[in-house]
Amino acid sequence: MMSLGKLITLKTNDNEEFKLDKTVAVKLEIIKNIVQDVDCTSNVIPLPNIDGKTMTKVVKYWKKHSEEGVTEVQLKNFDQDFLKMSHSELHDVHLAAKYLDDNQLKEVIIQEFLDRIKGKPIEEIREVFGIVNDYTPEEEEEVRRENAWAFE
Amino acid sequence: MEAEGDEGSQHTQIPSTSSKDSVLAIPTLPQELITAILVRLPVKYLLQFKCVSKNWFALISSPHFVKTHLSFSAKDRFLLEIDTYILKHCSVSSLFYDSVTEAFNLVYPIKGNKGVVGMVGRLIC
Repeated sequence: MMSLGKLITLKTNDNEEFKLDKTVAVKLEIIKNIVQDVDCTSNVIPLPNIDGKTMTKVVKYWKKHSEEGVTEVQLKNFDQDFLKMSHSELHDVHLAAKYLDDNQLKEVIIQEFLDRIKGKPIEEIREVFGIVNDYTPEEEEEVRRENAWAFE
Repeated sequence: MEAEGDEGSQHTQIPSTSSKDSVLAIPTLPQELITAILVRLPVKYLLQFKCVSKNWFALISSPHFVKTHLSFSAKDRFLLEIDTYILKHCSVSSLFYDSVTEAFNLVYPIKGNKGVVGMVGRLIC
């Protein structure tokens, strides 16, 4: 039987520990499953795929979103601020959310990526996603011509 | 023994030979995340993004992607039955707000009326 302690400790791959209220932690499927499956007498759950820097962000998000009495407006402002990070940090948080099976956070990250690419020129999209243009100028011109109206 | 064949993983992009690499660039964004982002975009953006790379062209043109995209945007779509088996779709909002409504060919037929909730004349919704 697991201990009935209220705190659960999540330990990242660089040995950073995050103490979370159990009611917050078990909202996540993966944590819930581990808590149920493993004899967590020490209440320490290893997260081998997440580093401390990323987990700090995730925990910050969870804590705010499970705050009692928090308003929609407060959450909106928090999210806006929370998402001010580089593309690669955003990617890391998405990977963590995926590993933790946190669909809400995953969706928030995807929406942020969408906002970042909407209306941007093709060259900038390539830069953001680290994509090398493998079209010849003629090929690219042809694709542009075929979809000309989309560029208007 | 050699562990070969990284099957299923996304195409790794060849590192850029130019010096334009942004420090913010994501070296390898997984195909899964790219798909998750792209299926939420309006068609107009998708057509533009076919120019990003051949890989994106193939992804955006694939029947599986088209199907997933349609299910995401189904709430804002009218299907126009131009002729039997020839279907076009367009955005509902464009009917009201755009001076010219763009309609797109639908590349696969509706089987068993799946997803069709009503029909008005030649408009299916």
